[in-house]
Amino acid sequence: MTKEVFIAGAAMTAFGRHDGSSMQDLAQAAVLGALSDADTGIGQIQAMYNSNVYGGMVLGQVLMRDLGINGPALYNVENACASGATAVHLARQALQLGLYDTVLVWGVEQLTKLGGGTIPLQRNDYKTELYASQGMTLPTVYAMRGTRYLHERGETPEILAQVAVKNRGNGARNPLAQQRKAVSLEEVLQSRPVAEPLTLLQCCPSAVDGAAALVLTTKRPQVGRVPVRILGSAVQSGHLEEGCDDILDAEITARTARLAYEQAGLGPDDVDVVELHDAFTIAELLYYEALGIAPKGEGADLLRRGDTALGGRVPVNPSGGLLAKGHPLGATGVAQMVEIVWQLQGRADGRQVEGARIGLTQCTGGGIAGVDHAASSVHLLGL
Amino acid sequence: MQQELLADPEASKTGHQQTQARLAASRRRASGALVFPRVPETSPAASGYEPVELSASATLYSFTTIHPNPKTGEPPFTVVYADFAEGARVFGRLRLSGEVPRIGMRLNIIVEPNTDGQICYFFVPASEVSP
Repeated sequence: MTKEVFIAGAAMTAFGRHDGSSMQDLAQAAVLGALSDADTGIGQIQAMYNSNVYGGMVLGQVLMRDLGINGPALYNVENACASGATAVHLARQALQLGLYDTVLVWGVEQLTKLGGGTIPLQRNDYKTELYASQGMTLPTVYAMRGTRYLHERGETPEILAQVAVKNRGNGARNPLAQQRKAVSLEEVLQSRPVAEPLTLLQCCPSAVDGAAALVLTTKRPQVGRVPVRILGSAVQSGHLEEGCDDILDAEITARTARLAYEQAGLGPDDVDVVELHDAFTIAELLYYEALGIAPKGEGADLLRRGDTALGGRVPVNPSGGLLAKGHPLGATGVAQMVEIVWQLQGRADGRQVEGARIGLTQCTGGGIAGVDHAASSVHLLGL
Repeated sequence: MQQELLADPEASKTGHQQTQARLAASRRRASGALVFPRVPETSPAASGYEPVELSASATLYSFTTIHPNPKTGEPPFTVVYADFAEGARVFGRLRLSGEVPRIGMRLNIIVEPNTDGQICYFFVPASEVSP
């Protein structure tokens, strides 16, 4: 019988500018927080999974050195923005196989040291090099989807802006979010254009630091809270983009979600709360449909009805999402799960989704041309 | 080495600064579908593809106008996905002379050497190109 995997501890730093902190400081703060939350110590950890994109080689060992690590297996995981979720996926696999009883997963990123601005595509192949030289960036890719979405669906830019209004409103309730200011539809639409139809407030902030950590175990936690289990966990890669694909079909996300649902024996109607990859507003609308929480073609209606707002049928991004909470790449997937753990255990002060029992996290990693997103990960967590 | 962009590299050597040209793509034998740019001949995967020449014009599938951070001082520019009748999609810049880009617009492909002498391509509205 497959072993159950519990999340025994969850913690994260505030996301934002941490000029006085090193990446070690951030990662260690999150790790110690998760260990404390699990009421365990680093000596009980048999393996470690470090998620990061821009930090360099053997970063995990660098980050944990001063905590006095004594030789556990340590895996450094990179899968662009899906790095953190991929690390959790790998950790869960090892636990289910019985390789370890208790492991630690963390993600960390310090993007403010890169100087801000749009994160560039990694130009290490001929196609990405060509398209980057023509002006392709991640905002460009999402803006193209936005233009096509408005055209095909007969929508106006207001529907995109409403995503930012919702998530930034949620972020204002989250003390760990980077941008804690609620905004109006007019403010979103009138903010500086970045890549039409996307304006600045429809893009996640690119200068952000932060870390998040989870303790995963096959031993039922004894800390007095209802334990959260990982019910489904899937990671998929994109496929070669050939011909003239439908750029509104988030195929990789739909495929990954289907695998996670099948593992968990659940469907979209069972999900009470979602943290998804809203790096740009258009993404949230597309992922409603890819995750099955809205029928195809009805994502905008789901948002308009208020179904995905706090208090709605299935709140999406109660943390503020990437748009407001911030998107320190390697930390994001782990932080999404920290938020869902807190939501399921009734610990999300100020933004609590009442009675939530099943939560879904989704993130997607891109950054190369010619693949319909490089990586996608979906997790289902439940009581 | 610059990626081979043109179906007929000689077409870029007409002496003109700007010239119409046809882009080089590849057809994947396994699926019959096209990819752009052409898969390099040096790739071990190249035998899985055959060369294809794209039409001189395409249809605008989607677009965005990029507004660089004001600190850069760079002006806005427009980029497009353009679909070719052969079944290939190409990303590139769209040079406009007052027109408003719209989905479904016909586009022509133009090439010119950049300051390094390398061939670059861009799109223009089809009505812009004189025969």
